Amino acid sequence: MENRRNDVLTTMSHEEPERVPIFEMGIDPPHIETLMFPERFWSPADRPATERVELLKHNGEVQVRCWDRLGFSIVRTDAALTPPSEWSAKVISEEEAKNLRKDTGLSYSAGTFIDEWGRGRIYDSKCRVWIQQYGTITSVEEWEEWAQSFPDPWAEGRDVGAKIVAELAEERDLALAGLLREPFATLFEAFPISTYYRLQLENPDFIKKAVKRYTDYNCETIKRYGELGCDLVISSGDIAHRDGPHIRPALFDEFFAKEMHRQVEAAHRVAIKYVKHSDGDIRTLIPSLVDTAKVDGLHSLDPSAGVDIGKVKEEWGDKIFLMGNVAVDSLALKSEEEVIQETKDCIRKAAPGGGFILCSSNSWYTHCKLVNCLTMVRTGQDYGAYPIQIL
Amino acid sequence: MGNSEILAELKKAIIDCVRLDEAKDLARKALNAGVNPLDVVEVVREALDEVGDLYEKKEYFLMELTLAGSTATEIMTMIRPELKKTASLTKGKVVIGTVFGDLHYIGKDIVIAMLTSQGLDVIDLGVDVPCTSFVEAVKNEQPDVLAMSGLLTIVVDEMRKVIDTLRNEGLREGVKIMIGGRAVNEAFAQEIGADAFGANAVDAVRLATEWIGGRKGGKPKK
Repeated sequence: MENRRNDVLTTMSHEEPERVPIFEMGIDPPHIETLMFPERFWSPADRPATERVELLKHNGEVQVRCWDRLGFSIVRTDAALTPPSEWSAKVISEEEAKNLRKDTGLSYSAGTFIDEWGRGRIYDSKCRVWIQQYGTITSVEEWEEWAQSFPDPWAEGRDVGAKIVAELAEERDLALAGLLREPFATLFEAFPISTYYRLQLENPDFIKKAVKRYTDYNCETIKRYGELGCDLVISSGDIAHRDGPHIRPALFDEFFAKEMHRQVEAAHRVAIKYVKHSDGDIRTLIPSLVDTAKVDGLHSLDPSAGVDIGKVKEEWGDKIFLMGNVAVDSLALKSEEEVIQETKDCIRKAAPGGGFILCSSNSWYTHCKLVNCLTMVRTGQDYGAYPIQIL
Repeated sequence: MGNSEILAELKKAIIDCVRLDEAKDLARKALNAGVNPLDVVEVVREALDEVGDLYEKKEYFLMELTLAGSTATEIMTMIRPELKKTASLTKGKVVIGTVFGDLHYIGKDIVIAMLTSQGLDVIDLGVDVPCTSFVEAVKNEQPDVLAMSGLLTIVVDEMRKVIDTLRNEGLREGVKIMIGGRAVNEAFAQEIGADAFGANAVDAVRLATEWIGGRKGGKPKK
């Protein structure tokens, strides 16, 4: 368990560390509570808005201790999507939901919470996480109006939780990952789906302008992550689904990969590695991500969408490090023996030579069997010592 | 420009994903030129078939699939009053929803856009739909097809529960059932007694139109 941060830095530099680092980008609160029993992971409903700082502090502490207890080498923190102190949520009323349903034909429901980015979010009470619902911005004019008070990356209070996690990570010698939201995802999620695609087709100048604003925001957030001592940033937000990319790879390259490169440069200026996360079949986007965006790493190489980490390693492993890719579906549905085998396969294919961090293909969501998640970690610990000796 | 040229241009416009107003102008032009609205419907259907084929060949992406579906839906909405004068537009009814425990909607909504553009009456029950709501909808709406979607693995038990309940209430035989989404597959569809697994929106539309076409004497897709 020694040198965990150093192992991360070494593997991100494409050298073999002492052990394969292990990480999860997220664990749903019910699992955290099981792992940390009798401690609670507070829900926003547990605390009034006036106690937001206490909530962030408490949850930050529980999270770091949980990740530490699991033997993970990296903890993650968020100063990108965490709202500032002065911000308060808007929740859609029954009347507003009715009007939105009428205007868009989409099944908006009362109780949907609109976040700082115009995205509809709904609380999943079983998993105790906020899930993306329909975007609430329905035209360029509405976006322009919303953008008049575009979120300020340096707004007071946005980094309250991040600071706590950063301090605790340093105390424990854990690497620190700052989360970002990919501009494609933020924009895509702010509008109803077909409206976004229509804008991409019919109003490319608007898309370019909007992506630039979101990218500027991310570049500033990266500076903040530099101040907090992050070692890597992970840009969340899916750019693909099970069948392939959301948009044509050439469009992705033109509209998003170039702007992503600006973020990568911002990260490198503060000695941070830049990782792009996406579920889905990203294989046709990898050339863009590597050659245009010049990302340092990819997470999560979704095996359920056909991504073979061995093939990605073979083709791109000299340019990017890989984070993945035990299938979340396996953690939910398969046996412990199957999870052991899948984890060993990941290590065997991707770990030699360094440039590999073991994790699931998304996160430990509530319906994953915790025993399988722990089996993945244990297998990583059992077989992750260098030199790798799995045949 | 003759009527057949206008229809050919309309078909090409949908396939090429031109601007929505251009596609609608062409549809309007066709109607103004006296083209039978049913011929416009047929051209829209052919265009969607082709877009679906291109998607399955991975030459098209979700963006083109969604845009073609939404353009077709807009055209169908535009010509619906004309169709009412000549023939019944609705070919069948589909009830659809994301099952209880799952709040994901993107896949479901793309399927809805594609089904609607085919002239089907689609009743969207939304996300996180409990078993009782599916069963009530089947009882009250008497749809031709019930489509259940889900991204999370938890949905497998819910889908099974819906089908078992329909069976217990004597409603199963009256409706074709398809399931779709990341968490399920063909083998699971068979295991729980669904009629089919729809791998994507194109597949879902193909299944629904084949079933409804077969049942009502319509024209099944190739």
